[in-house]
Amino acid sequence: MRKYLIVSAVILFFSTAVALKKNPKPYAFPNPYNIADGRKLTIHVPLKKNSLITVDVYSQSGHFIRRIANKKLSSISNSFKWDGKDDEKMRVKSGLYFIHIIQKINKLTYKDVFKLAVY
Amino acid sequence: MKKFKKVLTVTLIFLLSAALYASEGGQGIPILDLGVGGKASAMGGAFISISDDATAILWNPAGMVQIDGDELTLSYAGLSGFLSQLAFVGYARNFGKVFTAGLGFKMLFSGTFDDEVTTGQRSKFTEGHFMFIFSGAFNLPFPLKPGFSIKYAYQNLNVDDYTGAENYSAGFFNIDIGVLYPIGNFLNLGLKIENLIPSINMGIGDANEPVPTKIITGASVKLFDGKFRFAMDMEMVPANGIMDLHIGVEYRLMKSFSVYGGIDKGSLTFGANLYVGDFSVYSTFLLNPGYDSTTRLALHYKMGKSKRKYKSIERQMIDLSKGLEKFHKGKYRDAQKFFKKVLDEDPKNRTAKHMVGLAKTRIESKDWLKPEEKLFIKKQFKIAKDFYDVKNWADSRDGFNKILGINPLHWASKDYIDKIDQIIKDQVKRNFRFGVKYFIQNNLKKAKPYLREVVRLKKDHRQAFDLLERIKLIEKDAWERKIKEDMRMNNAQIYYKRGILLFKKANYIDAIQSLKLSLNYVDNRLTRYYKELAEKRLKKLNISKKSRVKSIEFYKLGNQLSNAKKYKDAIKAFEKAVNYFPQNKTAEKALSDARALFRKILEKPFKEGLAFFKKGNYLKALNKWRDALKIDKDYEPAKKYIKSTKKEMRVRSMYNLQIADTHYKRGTEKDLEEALKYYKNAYDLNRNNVKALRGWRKIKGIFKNKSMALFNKGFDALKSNKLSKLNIAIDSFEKYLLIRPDDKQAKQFLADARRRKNANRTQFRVNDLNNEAKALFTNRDYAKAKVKFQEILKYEPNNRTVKKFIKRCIDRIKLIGRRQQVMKIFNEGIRHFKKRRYKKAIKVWSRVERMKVASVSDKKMLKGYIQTAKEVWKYNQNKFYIKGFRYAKMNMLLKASESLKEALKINKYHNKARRLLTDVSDRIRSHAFKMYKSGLNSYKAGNYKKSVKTMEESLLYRRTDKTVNILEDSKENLKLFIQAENLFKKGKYIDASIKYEQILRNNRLDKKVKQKIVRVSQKLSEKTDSLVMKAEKQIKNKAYSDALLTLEIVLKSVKFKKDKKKRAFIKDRAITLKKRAGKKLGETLRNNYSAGYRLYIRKVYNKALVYFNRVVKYKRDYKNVRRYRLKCIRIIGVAKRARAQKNAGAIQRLLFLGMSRYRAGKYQAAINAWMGILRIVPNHSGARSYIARARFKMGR
Repeated sequence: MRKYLIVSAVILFFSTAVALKKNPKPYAFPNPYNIADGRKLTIHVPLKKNSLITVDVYSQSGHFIRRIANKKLSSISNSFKWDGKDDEKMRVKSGLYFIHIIQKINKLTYKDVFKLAVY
Repeated sequence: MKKFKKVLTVTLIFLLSAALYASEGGQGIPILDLGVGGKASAMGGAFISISDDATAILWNPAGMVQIDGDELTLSYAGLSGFLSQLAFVGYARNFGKVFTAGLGFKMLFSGTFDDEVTTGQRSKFTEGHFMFIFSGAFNLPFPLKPGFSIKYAYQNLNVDDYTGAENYSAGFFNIDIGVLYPIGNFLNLGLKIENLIPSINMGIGDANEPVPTKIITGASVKLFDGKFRFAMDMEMVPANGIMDLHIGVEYRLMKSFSVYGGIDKGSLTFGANLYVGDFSVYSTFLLNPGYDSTTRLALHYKMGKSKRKYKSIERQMIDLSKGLEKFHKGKYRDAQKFFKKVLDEDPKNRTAKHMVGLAKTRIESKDWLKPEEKLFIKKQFKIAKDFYDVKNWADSRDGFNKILGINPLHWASKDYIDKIDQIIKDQVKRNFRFGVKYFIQNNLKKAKPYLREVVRLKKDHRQAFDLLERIKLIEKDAWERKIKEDMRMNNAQIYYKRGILLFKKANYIDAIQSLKLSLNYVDNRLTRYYKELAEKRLKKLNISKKSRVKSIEFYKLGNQLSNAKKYKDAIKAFEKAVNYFPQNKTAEKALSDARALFRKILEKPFKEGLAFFKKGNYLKALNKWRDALKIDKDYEPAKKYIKSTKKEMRVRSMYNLQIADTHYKRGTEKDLEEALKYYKNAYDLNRNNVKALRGWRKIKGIFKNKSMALFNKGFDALKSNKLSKLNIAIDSFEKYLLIRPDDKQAKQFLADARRRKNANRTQFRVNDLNNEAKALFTNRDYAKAKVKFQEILKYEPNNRTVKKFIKRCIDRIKLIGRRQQVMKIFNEGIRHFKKRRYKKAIKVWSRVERMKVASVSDKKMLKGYIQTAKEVWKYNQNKFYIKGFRYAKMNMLLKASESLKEALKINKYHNKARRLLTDVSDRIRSHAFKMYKSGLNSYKAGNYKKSVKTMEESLLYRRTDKTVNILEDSKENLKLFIQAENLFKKGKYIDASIKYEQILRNNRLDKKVKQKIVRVSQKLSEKTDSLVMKAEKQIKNKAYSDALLTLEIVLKSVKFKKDKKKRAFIKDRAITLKKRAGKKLGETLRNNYSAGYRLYIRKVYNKALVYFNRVVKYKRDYKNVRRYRLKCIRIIGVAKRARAQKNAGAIQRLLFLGMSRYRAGKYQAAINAWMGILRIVPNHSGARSYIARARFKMGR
């Protein structure tokens, strides 16, 4: 009995720890993003040197929408553009989205999430 | 473990295969898509076919039929690192057996986002989704369970950016339909159609975003005795053809703990669940590759589920018992109703099922009877039942049999007959058992009624009949024997009486004959004695044979002697006359006359002597008795009195001498006068008392010069011719005569004074009485004073002053009587008050207020007392409680308990004190137990000193038999151990080893002593021969226990013997001897124990204790000997204490009685009272000293 309690407590702890991890602060502009405006969304990321970067868009219900970037970068460029469309080139529904940014430097991984409103 | 592995592999295969098929769906509407609930999320959303908690409101409303009573659920999830919060509150409840309703509120809220600081431009928005759901489910009588939900969802987005501030919102109503189809106990199928109205728009602003209709099907299977469950859901959106798969597993590890796993559209989920009472807590972990992991927490609360369950069980029990009652009364239809009710509550209830069937058969069996037969059965049943109630078994059985004659299937009658048969059987068995028991005990009077009862109940009981016959025969024999015996006794008595009569008449010949006859019937010691006496007297008379002539001769001689006043010889002559011819009636009469006369003559001086003796004039008494002896030298009473009086005189003379000596030593004139008196007395009482004579002479010398003054004083008083001075004259002359006892003139004067005093007796008496009465009056002894005054009135009837005094006495007596009544009540109250029974004291005192005789001042006084008692009562109960409380705090438990008991004695409703007392007594008990345990451990370890200490402490707190036993054992073992050590040091190894063995016999676990024994036995290895001899001697002397100990030592020490042959020989010998001694010891133990037990049952505890002590000496734990022994000791102690208490009261009473008598001058009576104390306590020092003082006062 005690064993199982400990296991569940450990699961709880790790999951919250992951969720509460502090990340460097990237941002998107404009946020909220009006697709009808015709402008593209720019996502600014404070880059680490020689990092492998992945930028993904997820819906609020956890559906994967689109991968904006996935490449190894030097410190030349630090912004990414998104046109508000999903993988199938369809306009996304208005609502809230999460931008997930993952940077990998050597063996370390940095993770960032922020909210994006689309209407 | 094997099972678990199996489950794990099956799960993994399913999950992996499902993961392959997982497809990525469209964007969806978040408030609708995001799943809630612990179990549902943990099982990857495969919950359509399960939906067994309140989250069924969302998942599948039909699943709500599985909810028992009402249930509340709370669910929370922080999405994407708590950027967005998902929460759900749901409540479902049964309304009746058919309908279940549920209400839910779901919320997805991300709050306000403000990024103006980073971008430098206005970029603010607030976003939220809300949904309200109402669901219903129907538990219809067929397997398919339908359900529905009506929901309203609302979405809001408030934007404030560079274009300006705007608010976008959208909402819709929609309906879901769900179905659940359980097949057996292991398979569940489910179907849900979500968003039945497909055309509703959920787009914000201008966007057109329709809500698509979803069809979800699911199935779940239970495996491994329901411990494992596998569920799978298929989700389909017909509008765009998107399909999703949800897979989940559940494994119940134990009753209150389960683990879950699942795949929700490609994401892995894990979870665990813990049940605590009616609560269940879920923790779920969602693993989404690429996305983010989230944790969900859920809490389910089944409100009052257990209470409902118990209520249902209670209802079932009540219905079942009612049904059974009706069933036994024969009301099968009613019974059936109740059983059916039970089955409605719990269809699996086996008893109810069985009873329903039984009732059915019985109802059917009744229906084929005619109406008149039914009526008859009803009446007959009532009559038979009445007989049954009155316990008239035979008639009741006949009645029931009659019913069975008409309806052989009348079950109630059958039941009753079975019951009656059983009762009769039991009673016969019981009565016969008692009958036989009393028959064996030879108590026929008690045995007879039992056996008669047996024969009455069962006429063919041959054994009982035979026993009764035997009892009759035995009683007949006993009756005949008794009559014979009575006859014998009667005859013996008659002959004895006759013999004694003849003996008294001096007719010895006939007397001997009669007594002989009596002896033939019964050999009696008294009869034999009289017979021998008669023979002796006859021999003295020397009569060879009967002769009438000689009889007449002796008669004549007797007459002559009697005339010459030689009565003794005359009596002899008459006796001879009677014995020569017993029919000589004249001689007989003459003999009795002569005897009477002679007795009269003898008794005269004897009685005179007695009178002198009573007055204390021993010398004159002695002379009188000597006169009696002169008449008949064999006169026994006179002889006896002379002997005892002489002894008494000697003793008294010594007493007088002692008193005289003490007076003489004091030396004052008054004392010397007293000493003179006592010396004279001592000398008079015993002429051989030289010391007294010497003392008398010495004082005579001192007073020689004063003698003339005394004489003159007496003479003057006599000469004055006044009555008042006569006493002075008498006193003076008496004193003078003590100095000069031979002065004839003084003697004459004294006689003259006395004569004159005697002549004026009345006047003296009146004066004396007057003085006494007045003294009594002043001493407030009014009753006695009144008597004295009344006596004066006899002499002087017209004395007015005396009459006045009598009146005053009467008044005072009345007053005292009233006062005494009040005082009695007052004292009673005080007694209660002292014992802290304040309530009773107040009650007693308040009686005075109602008394008419009580004076105002008394009433006032008692009012004050009542007031004080009330105050003290109030104060004391709290005082003792506080005291107890403090002691309890300081852990002084015994004192605390005492104080609290005191507080409760004052007020038994003092709840605080009572509660604290129970707590304290619990603590006392636990402390005592703790001490007992530690004592026991040290006893087992052989540390007897410590054991004694701890056990004594434990006994202070609580007395138990076990503790007392171990304390006793420890004390004895400690004593033995010290003795053994000393003996060992002195080199007396045999004695030491015996002591060690005794210790070991008491405590087998003592390792220390075991080692010591080994050491000693090594030293004794060469002395085994003598030890065996010793054991043999002990067996001869019946000291079996000692012999066993000696042999034990032999067996232990023989191992160390070097000579092998000798070793074997001695060992064999010792074993045989040991067996013999053991057998004998067993016998003695058994005998002593049984003897003790018999006495114990008869409540002769003193004697029983002796036997039990013997048993304990040999073997401590023989049967229940220790328990009985302790009980005996306790009972004897209690009796002793009670006796002492009773005696204490009696002693006190006697002490006071003696004191009051002593003060009144009644010394002899006081001595008698105090002697009573010595009879109770022979060494009572107080009583002894008081008696000595009283004797001194009496002049002994």
